[in-house]
This record gives sequence, structure tokens and C-alpha cells, in this order.
Amino acid sequence: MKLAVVGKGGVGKTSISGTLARLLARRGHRVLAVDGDPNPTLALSLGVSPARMESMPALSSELVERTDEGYRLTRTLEELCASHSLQAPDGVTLLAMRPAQQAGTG
Amino acid sequence: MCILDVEASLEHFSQSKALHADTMLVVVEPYFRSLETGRRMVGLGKQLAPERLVLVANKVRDERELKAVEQLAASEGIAVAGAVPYDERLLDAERADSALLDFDPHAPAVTAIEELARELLATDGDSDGGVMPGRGALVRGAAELGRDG
Ligand SMILES: Nc1ncnc2c1ncn2[C@@H]1O[C@H](COP(=O)(O)OP(=O)(O)OP(=O)(O)O)[C@@H](O)[C@H]1O
Ligand SMILES: [Mg+2]
Repeated sequence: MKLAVVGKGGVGKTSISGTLARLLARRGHRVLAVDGDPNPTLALSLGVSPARMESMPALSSELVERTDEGYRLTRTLEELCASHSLQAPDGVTLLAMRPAQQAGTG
Repeated sequence: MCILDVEASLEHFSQSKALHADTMLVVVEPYFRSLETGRRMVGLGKQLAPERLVLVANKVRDERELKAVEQLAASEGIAVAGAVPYDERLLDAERADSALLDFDPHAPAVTAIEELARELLATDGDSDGGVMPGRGALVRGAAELGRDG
């Protein structure tokens, strides 16, 4: 199942995604949770501490390239998960698609 | 199994040709503005043609509010896969810097999301085993993602 959670800002996408991910994992499914928001909050909703999130490297420029359509991965998701994911409670794997900060903006 | 939490903006969503999610959950609150945005997103979702396009009602306070979401679903010809009640425990959990599941595993919202999970699994037609996307997959509300469980 590849599930996208969409909706107007603040409707509860992240709260539902995080809880749903863990509940599905508890049912024995292998779950990869992907934070597609540049301002990552899915970690908190999964129960991953901000400190652990910060220990995860942002996607460096060799991994993501900017195109007119958005950010494009230069590696497969599997390769990416090896370096940019962490284990969240209940065995959920969290991948944050947070692009590296542009020079000078952060 | 892969769950993608996308950013709110409709722009990225509409650009996301590469969004090959097989299931799309359109979350709506039962208020006019949110329902109208939901309707637009359902329209975009139909263009992307996932195998399953469903609504999830969130922050529902009463029967009348649920009805409003059901009406939108009926007029778009799609199902309401779940209804999560308005639940203060979510706000309490946030204040405690804790995940809802850790803060109160018996919160009404958890029970409702548990039902949503059951519903999604029961109506899941996925048989492709979840292929990992190759290089070049778009990210940021537009990922082509996969991984199965
Ligand atoms: N069922 C609910 N009952 C009460 N409050 C809720 C409920 N669901 C979500 N909330 C609250 O609504 C706020 C927004 O939720 P959340 O961050 O999950 O939304 P979002 O759609 O991911 O937002 P954004 O568009 O900013 O990413 C949070 O404060 C959250 O605690
Ligand atoms: Mg969010």
C-alpha cells in the first residue's frame, strides 16, 4: 500500500499519518513513513524526539536536485533509507525528505 | 507499505505527476472552507487516478458535522474511510511533547484511527508487492514511493 495523506493546512494530516503508521506497524506491516513537508513534524507525531531528528542528516545536494517540478531524488529510496532514516516506535521507519538548507538561509 | 505526509499547498500537489500513491486519503474538517478545499483536492486526486481515493473526516464534533463530510463524499462518488472525533488529547499530547499513542493509547482519536487502519487493510487491493522507486523519483509532496509489508 502506498498511501498519500493530503488536505488543507492544519486539518490533521500529520497527526493522522503518524498514528496510522504506528498502528499499521503494530499489525505486523513493514511501514515506511515519509515526511514530505519541508517543515518536518511527522517525527513528533510518531514519537521521535526532536533531538534524534536533528541527528539525522538533511538530504545533501548530491542526493536531491532541484527541478522545475520539485525536488528529484538521485538515489533510490532504498539507498536513501540506508543513510537518512531512523527507527521510530513500533518499528516504523521514518524518512525525512528534508532538503538541505540553501546556503545563507539557515 | 508507505505513508506519505505531504505539505499542505495545492500547488505541489497539482504538479505532482509522479505521485503514484495507490491510496490517497483526503483529510477534511467538517467546516465549509475545509470541505471546499477537500473538494478541489478530490478533483486533483481524480486526475492522478490512484486506485483508491477516499475522504477522512477529522475533528468531528457531532453527527451533523459527519453528515456534511458524507454529503461531500456522496456528491464526489467516493467513500468516507474514517471519521476521527475532535479530541483534546491530541492537544494535550502535543503540549507534553509526546505522540498521541504514547500519551493516551485509549484516546477516542486513536480508536478511530485504528478503525481507519482496519478499513484500509480490508479494502486494500495491492498485489504488486511495493516496488521501490528508481532514481529520479520526485520528492516533496510528489514522491513516487514504495515499500511493502
Ligand atoms: N481529531 C483532532 N482533534 C483535535 N485536534 C486535532 C485533531 N487532529 C489534529 N488536531 C490538532 O490540529 C492541529 C493540526 O494538526 P496537524 O499538524 O496534524 O495538521 P496538518 O494537516 O499536518 O497541518 P500542516 O498542514 O501544517 O502540516 C494540531 O494542533 C493537532 O493537535
Ligand atoms: Mg503536517
